[in-house]
Amino acid sequence: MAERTIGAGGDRELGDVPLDDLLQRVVLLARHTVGAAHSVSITLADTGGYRTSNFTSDDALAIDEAQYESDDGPCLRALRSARQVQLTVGAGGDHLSVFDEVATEAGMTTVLSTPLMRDPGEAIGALNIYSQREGAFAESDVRTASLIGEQATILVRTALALVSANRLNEQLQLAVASREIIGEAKGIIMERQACTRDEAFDVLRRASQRENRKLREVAEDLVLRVEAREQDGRAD
Amino acid sequence: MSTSAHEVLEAARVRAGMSFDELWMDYFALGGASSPDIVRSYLAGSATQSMDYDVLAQAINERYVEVGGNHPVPYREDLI
Repeated sequence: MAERTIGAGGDRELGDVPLDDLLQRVVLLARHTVGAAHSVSITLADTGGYRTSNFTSDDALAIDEAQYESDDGPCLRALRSARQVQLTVGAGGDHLSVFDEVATEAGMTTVLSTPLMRDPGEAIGALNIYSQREGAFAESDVRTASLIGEQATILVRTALALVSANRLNEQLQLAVASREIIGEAKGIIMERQACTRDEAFDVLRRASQRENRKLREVAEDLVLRVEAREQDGRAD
Repeated sequence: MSTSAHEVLEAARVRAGMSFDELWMDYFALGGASSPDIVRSYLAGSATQSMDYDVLAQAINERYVEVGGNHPVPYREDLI
């Protein structure tokens, strides 16, 4: 069986290990510890919709994607209800959904989708376990899936928190650099025009409006001009 | 009833598609010194002190500049 993964967590990492690799271990763990498991996948909800971040074989990926395309199926139901969902393939009788058709074609009989929770009542993804055995998942399988789902949840949540902390850090660094240059420009204007700090800001913002450029750029130009003149003065 | 200054800003922020956090970060980058809580309560109309209206207006205007607009949000001196 081909064991592979598609780009999932992008550059998200926990320690030195990309989230993608960690989640791949999770699907493999589920595949080997849940007795009835044939294929396992993880669905993640993103701003752009749903995607399968990891899977143990191509059939799981195909069944997942059929669910995203038809906007229905056990993994989406688990995600949206934030509850574990167990479904027998073709249980709807004559009315076969897209999920039923694709799952049947892959030889699956039942599926167990366990939500990965962001907050109480809000899921961020789902761990999907597809089985080819007849009958429902054993009670012990359902429990094991819940436990593995909890572990996967912790990984995903930690990775997301790290990403947002890094992003905030970068934004603050940029913001502080911008404040600094604007503060310098205001100081120059205050000295030249013997005005207040607020009046100096007005000078910059009017120039920004007149030239339709960002205030930071206007401030930067002013500071660079003054610095260049000072250097010329020293060179003389 | 005339629209008050903070309502002008709040409406412009929403129109510009800026989240509150984005606005505060840009306001801070422009030299604004009030905490997110104070700015938030000002925009909601529940702050008593006068705020850096023009710094907030500038932050929103710069978002418009990015998408080809030219400072559509009025500054304090332009408010009637």
